[in-house]
Amino acid sequence: MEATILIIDDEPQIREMLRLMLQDFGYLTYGASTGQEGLSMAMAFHPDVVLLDMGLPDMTGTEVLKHLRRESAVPVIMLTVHDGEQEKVAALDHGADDYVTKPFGTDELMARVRVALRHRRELPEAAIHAGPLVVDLDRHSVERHGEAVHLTPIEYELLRILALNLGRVVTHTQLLHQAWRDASYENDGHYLRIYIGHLRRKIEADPARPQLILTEPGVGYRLVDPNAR
Amino acid sequence: MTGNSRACGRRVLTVVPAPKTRSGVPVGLEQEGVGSMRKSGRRLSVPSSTSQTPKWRVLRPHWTAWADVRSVRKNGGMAGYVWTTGLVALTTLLLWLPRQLFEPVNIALLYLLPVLWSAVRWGWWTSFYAAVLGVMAFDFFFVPPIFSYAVSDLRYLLSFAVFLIVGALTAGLTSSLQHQAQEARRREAVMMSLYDLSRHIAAVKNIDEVVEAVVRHVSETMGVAVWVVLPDAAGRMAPPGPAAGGARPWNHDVLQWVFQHGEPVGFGQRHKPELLYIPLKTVETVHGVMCLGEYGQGSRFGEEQRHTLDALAGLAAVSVARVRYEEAAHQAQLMAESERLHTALLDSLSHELRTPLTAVMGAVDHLADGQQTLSAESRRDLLATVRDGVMRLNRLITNLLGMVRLESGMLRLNRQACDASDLVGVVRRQLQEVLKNHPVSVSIPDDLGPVMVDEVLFEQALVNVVSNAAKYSLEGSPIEIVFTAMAPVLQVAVRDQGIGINPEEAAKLFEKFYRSPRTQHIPGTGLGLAICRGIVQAHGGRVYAAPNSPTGTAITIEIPWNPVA
Repeated sequence: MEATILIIDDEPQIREMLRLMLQDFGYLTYGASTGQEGLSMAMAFHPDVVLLDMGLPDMTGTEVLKHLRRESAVPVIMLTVHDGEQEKVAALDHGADDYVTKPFGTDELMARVRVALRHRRELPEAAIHAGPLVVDLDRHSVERHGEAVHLTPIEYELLRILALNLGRVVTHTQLLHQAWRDASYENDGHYLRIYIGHLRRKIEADPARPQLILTEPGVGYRLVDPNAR
Repeated sequence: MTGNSRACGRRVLTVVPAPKTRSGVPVGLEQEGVGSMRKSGRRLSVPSSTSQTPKWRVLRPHWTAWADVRSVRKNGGMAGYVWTTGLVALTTLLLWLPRQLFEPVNIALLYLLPVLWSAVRWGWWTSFYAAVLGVMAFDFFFVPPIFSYAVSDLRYLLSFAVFLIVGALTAGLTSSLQHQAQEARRREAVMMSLYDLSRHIAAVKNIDEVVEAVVRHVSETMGVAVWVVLPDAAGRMAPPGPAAGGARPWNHDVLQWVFQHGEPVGFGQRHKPELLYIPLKTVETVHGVMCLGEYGQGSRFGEEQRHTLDALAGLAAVSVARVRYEEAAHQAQLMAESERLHTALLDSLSHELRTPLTAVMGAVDHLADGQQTLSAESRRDLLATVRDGVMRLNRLITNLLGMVRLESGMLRLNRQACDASDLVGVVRRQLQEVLKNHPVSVSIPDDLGPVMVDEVLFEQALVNVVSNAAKYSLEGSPIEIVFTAMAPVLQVAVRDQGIGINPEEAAKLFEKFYRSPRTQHIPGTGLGLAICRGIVQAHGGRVYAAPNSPTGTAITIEIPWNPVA
């Protein structure tokens, strides 16, 4: 069965463009031009992915998200504009799965949609592959090019969280809360950066030009599979 | 009281003492007589009272002038009279014992001593009293017949008259000299105070600093609590909040009244007000109100303090006016500047926006028209043109929005501890297309700790500099990014081996819309480095350009930085 995607955006031009693009890739699409309409369509059609514009006329993207999350765990990809980092972080911490910044290319959007669909359908595997990296969640071990990588417990925890969200952005706050439980970003943001730096030195070919753990400036980090593009 | 004050024809602000707050503060006021200031629903009845009852009063200039005259003829109060009586009694006693040795005329002359003394100490009235008392004592004790006011020799009457005249003249001259000396001292004190204040506020450019200097100076000079209240944009006097205003309850109505009418108002006894609201007034404008004293602190403002305060208020008003005018002039200058920029912006925009749009439209039309005839290769080329044009438009719009955001003053830095290599990594990833033909070398000290910057904005600043380095140098030429920690600054130098800059261009590079004449053939808006400078300045740093050796340009970003202990 082909996946269905709900597009909530008030600009007809954008909706039309997304419809053409997504249909070409074999998805079934619905369009909504306001937050209210989007919410009722989400309830009616149970889409597999929602593309949500953050600048709707009737309600903010975060409001739509809050209403949506009361009823459904459907993956939500936000369509945001440049410079809206705080907004992105707020929406991600309110349960959005990922975002793309307007203007975006086809590749980028499709990659996000595929990741969202995979996370919706698949249970976490026992071992997660990202390029040369294999994270074995059962055995708590990490291998790179078949060789064991020795990580400290915190480094492993960070990598595990990123791997569970493979392809998806994870905000600083989410990482801190999940890895440290009682951490606050104001105090411990710097430690997060230090540990990510350590982690990169152990798993990246060139830590100065990371290919696996990418920094999303002002938002968080994303573990990507370089072969998946 | 109502009838009384009307009869005086003087404007009096009165308050009802009855509804008091816990600190005994009157809550309302009413003005009677000319120009009544009646607040709807706040008109209050006025109980009978004497001039000693504390209340709000307008301190009229003529009142002050009258008080001034009166002060010349001041008396020393009861104490002065008691002392004078004592002095005359003492003189009498001292003269009584050796009375046989002196001629009555000599005795009369000696009675001038208490007259002089009281003129110096207590002023004219007391002194005249001493003269009268002296004559009476002289007559009673020394002029035959003794112990009687009867005078045997009528020539003594002439002596009495001469004595009184001499006494009065001496007293007048002495007390007026005394007064002049006091006046000189007072003026000197006022001058010193004014000089001190003017020294403090001469160089101040900012209205808050003026107010702060005035408040500090006046409260130090007067030893009382001082507030300066300036009107808001709507002309409303908004007293400082509880934090700034202490426990002091404000009388908004009086404050507003003083601001509107430009006349000082005092609260308390008539001649010794406890609180003062003094307008900061230049010739025709009231710029604010200076409020002195606190309820229940027992401070009293006498004549002399009031003179000093009036002078200080005048100076403060002039300073406030000066800063206001400077601000207005600065605003006007900014307006002119922004007008010039708008023109430049429009010129630049119409060119920069239309160029890629033209390319895109042409390519798209051509693709649509020639669907059947176009070869796959030309179709690919046309699509590449569309894509390039759109990317260029996107860059331009991003830059324009960035500039607007910087200039609107809405920019709020979200400083975080950032990792330098991570910053550079993100920049290189964003610019991977631009940098694919340039070898990039990055040098970051191993022990460089966290860098406190707004991650997104600082990256944008770096992206703009690095993309410029690539844009203005030949393909294949290397680019260096060097971090140098030199507390209290961190330098980030981006060096290329491109076409370089003229030293005289170095400063202009960072101006909005500036394009070097030598690079007119390379598309650009002249916004990238201006945005970079805006971002770096927002971080409290600076950015400058210099020729790189042997060729090319070195652009250095310098931001405040300290190693983490």
